[in-house]
Amino acid sequence: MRSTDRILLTLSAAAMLALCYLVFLYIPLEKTQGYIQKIFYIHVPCAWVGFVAFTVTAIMGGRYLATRDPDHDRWAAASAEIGIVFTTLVLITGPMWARPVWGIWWTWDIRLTSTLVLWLIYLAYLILRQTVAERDRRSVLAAVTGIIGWLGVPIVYLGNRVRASQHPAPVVGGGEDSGLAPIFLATLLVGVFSLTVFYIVLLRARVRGARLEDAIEELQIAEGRDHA
Amino acid sequence: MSAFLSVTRAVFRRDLSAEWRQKDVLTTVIMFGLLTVVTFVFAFDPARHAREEIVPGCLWTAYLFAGMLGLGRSAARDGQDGGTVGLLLSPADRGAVYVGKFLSHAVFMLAGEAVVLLFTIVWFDLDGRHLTAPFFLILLLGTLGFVAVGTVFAVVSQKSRLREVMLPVLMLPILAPMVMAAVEGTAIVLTPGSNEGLGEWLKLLAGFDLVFAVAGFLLYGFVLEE
Amino acid sequence: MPDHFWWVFAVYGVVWVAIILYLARLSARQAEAERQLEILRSERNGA
Repeated sequence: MRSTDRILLTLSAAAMLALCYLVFLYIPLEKTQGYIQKIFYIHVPCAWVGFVAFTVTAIMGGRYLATRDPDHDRWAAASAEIGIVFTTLVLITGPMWARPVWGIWWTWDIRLTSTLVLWLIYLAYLILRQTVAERDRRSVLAAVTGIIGWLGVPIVYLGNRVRASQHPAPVVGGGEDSGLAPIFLATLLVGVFSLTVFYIVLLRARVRGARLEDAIEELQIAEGRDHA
Repeated sequence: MSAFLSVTRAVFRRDLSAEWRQKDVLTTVIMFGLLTVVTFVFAFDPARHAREEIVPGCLWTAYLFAGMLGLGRSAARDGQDGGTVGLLLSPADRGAVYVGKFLSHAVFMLAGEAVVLLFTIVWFDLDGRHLTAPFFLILLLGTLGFVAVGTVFAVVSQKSRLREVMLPVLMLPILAPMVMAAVEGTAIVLTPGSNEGLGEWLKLLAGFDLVFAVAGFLLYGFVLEE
Repeated sequence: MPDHFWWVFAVYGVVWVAIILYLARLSARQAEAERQLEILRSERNGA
């Protein structure tokens, strides 16, 4: 763990502590949902990080296709894996909110469905990576899949306008009635900051690991060549 | 431009003549499509459901799964006779190869779908009130979207150890909006009364087709690389 | 304790545990890779 990572990790942890203070001790109760609404401040940052992570995967995939730098592929793969972790957390925290509020764990609402679809797309991306043995080929196929998969996201969200949604409307930039009181918005942003910084720490760690594993693979191939 | 078209035409002709000799893809699409429809009838008793409740889901599930097997066959055939590699004359032609493949796959799919539809018409007693222009427009747009995505991923999945399993794993989530739009649109058309709300689904389908056809055109060359 | 406090706390707990375990796994994997790389390199130099 390098010093940059230590600083980032400290920042993230400090923001997480601040978030907990704000959520559990400071901010007033939301009127309609009461205490349960506090889940929002961790659920939304997880969704945000998931979306950012998959976007990074698509961008790094594009850069890989342009440059053929294996490092770009490592960033793409690492980001997809972390995106899956955070999207899984969205799919866990969401139902934990829905159960007390809606009385059900899950509903086939468009926003829930689209998050699930996004999760499945990048799960397929990771499975594809596991099942293509040759490295250059794997990188190219993964890059194409990462880009095409990402294109599906806005289209899924367009379905939102057609089908009615039970999911609470986006509170930031979601239309006429949206908008949060400043203190709620500030709390949300603290959560987003904490998890985004944590995402960067995870990303850097995952890429370092991938570089080492690739170096080992290269050495083993060289070894095999020497013995042959 | 004429070089582009000649590559497209060569790919298209080669696929069609290979299919004419072997009939692998069509057999797959038709047989699997029919069996899916029949299985659907076992699963959802048509006597207890309205036509518009059962036919859209039945038809599109049949097309989707039959189509994925069909595309898998098509890509496997290319892999066996080394056809794709031989066509890779220059990188500039790769978009043209995609267009040729897209067209031949669309022809295979539409032909197979027509046969499955024929049986569905008889089995579910569909008539002129149901088989209107919007019905066929949805069928066409849905199929083109399916083919736009499938042409790319058929090749991708061939290069994975999981092959025929990888194709649905990759395609189905990406096709989710198209399937939703196609099924909802078909249901609106089959429901007696007005076609209200159909326009939105048609727009979604057209947008889906456009986005993925352009993406496929630009990215197909990369997946052909060895 | 307000109603649902432990439920909400559990939701936050799930997130904390998940991301910390994931980071720990990444660190462990990295340490293992470093160790293996060291062995491979020394074998190569020795041979």
